[in-house]
Amino acid sequence: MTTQNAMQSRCPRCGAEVPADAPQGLCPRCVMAAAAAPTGAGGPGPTATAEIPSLQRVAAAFPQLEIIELIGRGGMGFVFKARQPHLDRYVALKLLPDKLARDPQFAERFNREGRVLAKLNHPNIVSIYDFGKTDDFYFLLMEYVDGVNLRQAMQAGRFSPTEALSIVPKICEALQYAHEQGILHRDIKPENILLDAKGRVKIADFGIAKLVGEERPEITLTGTGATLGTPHYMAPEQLESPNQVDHRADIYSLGVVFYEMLTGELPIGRFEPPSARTPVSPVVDEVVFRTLEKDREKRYQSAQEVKTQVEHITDRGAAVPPVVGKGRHGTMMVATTSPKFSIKAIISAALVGVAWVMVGVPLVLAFAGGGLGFWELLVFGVPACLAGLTGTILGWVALSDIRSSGGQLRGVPLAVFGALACPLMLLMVVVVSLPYFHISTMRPSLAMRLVAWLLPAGVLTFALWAVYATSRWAANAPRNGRRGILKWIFVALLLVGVVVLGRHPGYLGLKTTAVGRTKPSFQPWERLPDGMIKLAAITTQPSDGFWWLPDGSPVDKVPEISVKGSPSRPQLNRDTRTVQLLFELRGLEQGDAGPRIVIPDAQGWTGQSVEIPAGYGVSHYLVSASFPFDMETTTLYAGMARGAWRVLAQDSFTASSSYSIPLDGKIWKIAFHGAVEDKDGNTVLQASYDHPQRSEFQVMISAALANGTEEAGLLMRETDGHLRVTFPRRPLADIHHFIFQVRRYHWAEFKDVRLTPLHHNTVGRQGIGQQESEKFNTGKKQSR
Amino acid sequence: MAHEPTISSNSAFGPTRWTLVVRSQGNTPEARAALSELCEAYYQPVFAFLRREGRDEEAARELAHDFFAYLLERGTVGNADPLRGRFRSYLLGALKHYLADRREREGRLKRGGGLIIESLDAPLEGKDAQIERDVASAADTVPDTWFDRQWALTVMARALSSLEAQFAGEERSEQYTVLKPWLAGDASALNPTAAAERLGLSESAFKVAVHRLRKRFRETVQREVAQTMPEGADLHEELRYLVEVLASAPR
Repeated sequence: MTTQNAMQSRCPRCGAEVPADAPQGLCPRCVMAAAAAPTGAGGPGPTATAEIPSLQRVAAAFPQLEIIELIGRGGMGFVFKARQPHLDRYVALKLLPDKLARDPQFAERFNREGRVLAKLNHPNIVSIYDFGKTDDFYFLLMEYVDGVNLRQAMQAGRFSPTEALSIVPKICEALQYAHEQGILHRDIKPENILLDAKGRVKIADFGIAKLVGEERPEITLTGTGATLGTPHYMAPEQLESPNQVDHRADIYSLGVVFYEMLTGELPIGRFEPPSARTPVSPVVDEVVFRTLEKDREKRYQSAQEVKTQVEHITDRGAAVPPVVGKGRHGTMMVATTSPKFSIKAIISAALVGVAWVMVGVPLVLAFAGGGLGFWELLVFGVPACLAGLTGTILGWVALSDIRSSGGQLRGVPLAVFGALACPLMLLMVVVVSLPYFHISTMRPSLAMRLVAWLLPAGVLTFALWAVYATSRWAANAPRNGRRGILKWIFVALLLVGVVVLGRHPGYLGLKTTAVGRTKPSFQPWERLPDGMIKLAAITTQPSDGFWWLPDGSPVDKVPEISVKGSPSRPQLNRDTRTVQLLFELRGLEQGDAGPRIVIPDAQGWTGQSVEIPAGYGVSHYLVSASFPFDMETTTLYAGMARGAWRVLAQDSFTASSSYSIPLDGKIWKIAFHGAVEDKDGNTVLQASYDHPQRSEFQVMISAALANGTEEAGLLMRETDGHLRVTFPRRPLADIHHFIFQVRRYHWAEFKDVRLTPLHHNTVGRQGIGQQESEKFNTGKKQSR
Repeated sequence: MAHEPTISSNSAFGPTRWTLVVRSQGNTPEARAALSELCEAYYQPVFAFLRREGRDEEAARELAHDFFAYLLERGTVGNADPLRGRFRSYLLGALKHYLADRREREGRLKRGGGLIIESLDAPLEGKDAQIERDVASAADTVPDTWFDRQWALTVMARALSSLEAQFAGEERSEQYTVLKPWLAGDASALNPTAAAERLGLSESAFKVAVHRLRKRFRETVQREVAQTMPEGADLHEELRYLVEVLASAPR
């Protein structure tokens, strides 16, 4: 049972329990009762018993209009919504009751009044576009207002005082304007005051009452019990001596409407002041009462006066009592709550501004003068952080204050600046500096450059959206249906940036050498058997005799080597250091070629084979390589080309040709220039080739001779990717075809090779004395 | 494009379904189709009435189906009652007739029907109780107003679903859901500000939307009721009656 009761709710209107069989959970009593009641679109008046003209009849009478639908049964006729195709606008077509047409004097009055009314041109008055008579109807063609009348609006919900106080001045403006033209409305009531969906106020049926001659509308009751055509809005003098009314009657009617908007009730008999029923200050009471004065001499004498008084109230924020002091009417002292600037917003913006300045000063100094000293950091940095932090917090407090003040506090832009400037700036700095820092130190790939642009763009978009969204939040603006497009752009950009970074964490500089650079790592395909190549010793100056091992410890036995050709000069400048690397090769097989050295971190290296006197059983290779000055260790590779040759292309190559040949999952691109025989009878062939791992292959072109043997070509010149091969004294006619073949280098890896010895002292070295080490230290070259 | 004027007079709609049926006394194919549609629409009150008499769901459903089949087949029921008046009254009358006929045919006593004392002897325990119960329930017949209340609820339910479907068709289902409570009227318990915010409307726009929803609902209800009224009948009177029936305490 309890669950059943828990599920049953109460009707918000009548308070009764909603029965279990109620459709869609709504109270049947209230819903159906509401459905049975009329819409309140104005009483039938003299049209209560009149026949509604059919659409066809109306359309026939007005061929220049598209008649759309009947939108109301006014007290003075039927109103249709129509459209003027010629002008592409909607209009309201009001047809006056047939019985009027039978009144002979009506025609004259209609024309006279009609002309006067058509002159009324005011934004708060429903304009009359045209009027006249067709065969069947007297009609008025009016502005179409897409909205509701005040009666319907009041039925949909009670007006807040602020709303009511905003509507009244507009009615006053319309009335004032009309009164100045000498036109009275005479029938101001909620049904005649229209509100469009944008909240504009328009008064309809100006002067129609007089035009139609309805001085005393009938009081009728329909079966559903609604009263229509009430005289409650009419001024006393209008009821007593209708021929002697002036514009002040309209002011009375306005007062009734005003009262009804505020309290929901009509001011009948002994009625309570509005402040007793709704939260307004007694100033409002005074104004309302004065408009409702029975004696018209005591009323406001013009609509303009009413407007001024009402606007006076609004300026002083009359929606909020209490009254501080009482004075004569019009000089009331009220606790002012007019919109003012939020102090917190001002302070917050100031603090943040100061913080930025304090951060900017040392930065400027750092750029101009020397570096950023600790002292400067302290003096400027700490207060800046404090000011920024305080300002930011204060900014958020100010925003919250403004939001909850309901329009009483101003200063959203300042507060937004204070609240967001520091956090957004920090975010920007962090996000931007990471990739840019990285980019500046090495050649960036396309993806990295993209990331470097995307992340700041994303953050910028986010910053823009944050400012926009915060402003709207603080201003309590209604959320519009359009989703924040900016926000989604930011999210998209950020996601892309994150994805790219996730796949290449190296971009964030997480794997770096001491200087923070990494080049794409060298991936050896094949490995040499251990011990075949050994990095025997390292030195800066081969003739000095001071060598160390790859781990930095000094060498026991210094190799005596003779350097062929011109000795390489160590280049000791500020930025680079040159070292000599001595490799030992042993156990090589016939046909192995090399070595080839690859040092990813070096700025350049040269190789030179050295001859070591017989007896060692090994061959030596000396490499000179340059490194950044502060680099302490490096990784390098030495390889020998061995194994079977693999043929990529064979052809007579008499003409230029190019090939794309896949090998082990990568493509070789080879282009041959036509083979030629030079004047000395040598055959020359040139080729250019490309491969992602070109340096890992040894390339050869051989010639298959007509007699069936194969002859290797002589490599005249090989630059990176270009071959020039000669077959000496081999005429072209002898050669049947050429063979382009490759084979891999097999690599030995040398990790963490020290470029500086661990000890500069000469302990444990043979053959070197203090003298030598001194010479070493001064960097003089010692010739042998 | 000229639309039909949205006013609630029968003539504006052309013949309503019931009007069609009455005119031809159910003899034309259109009239039969109209009658069948009406029966489908107002199945619920009949079913509820049969349940209310004490049957279980299965029995009530079966009986309802039989009744409707009989009605649709014959076009009239029993003594060739002319089809006239309101469909609501007609349907209830037809149902009662049908039940009485059936009872007579089956020769058995049911609640709300005649009461036959089977024996004058001192009744046995069980039987005695049964008879007493029958007597008691004879006075406790399902009142006509109970049927009419179910009818009113059906009208309301149909109007609401029609409105809901309209809104769904205009892709404004959310608006319908949020505005629905305001169909009951204006109430302090309802929070227009929150609702307006939820729909992204200003306060005045919200009021306009509420007004329009009520107007559409009203029109839908009137259309619905008009379908069951004969020519020249007073729609508003029927509506007022239905409201009255709903307003009186259920059961």
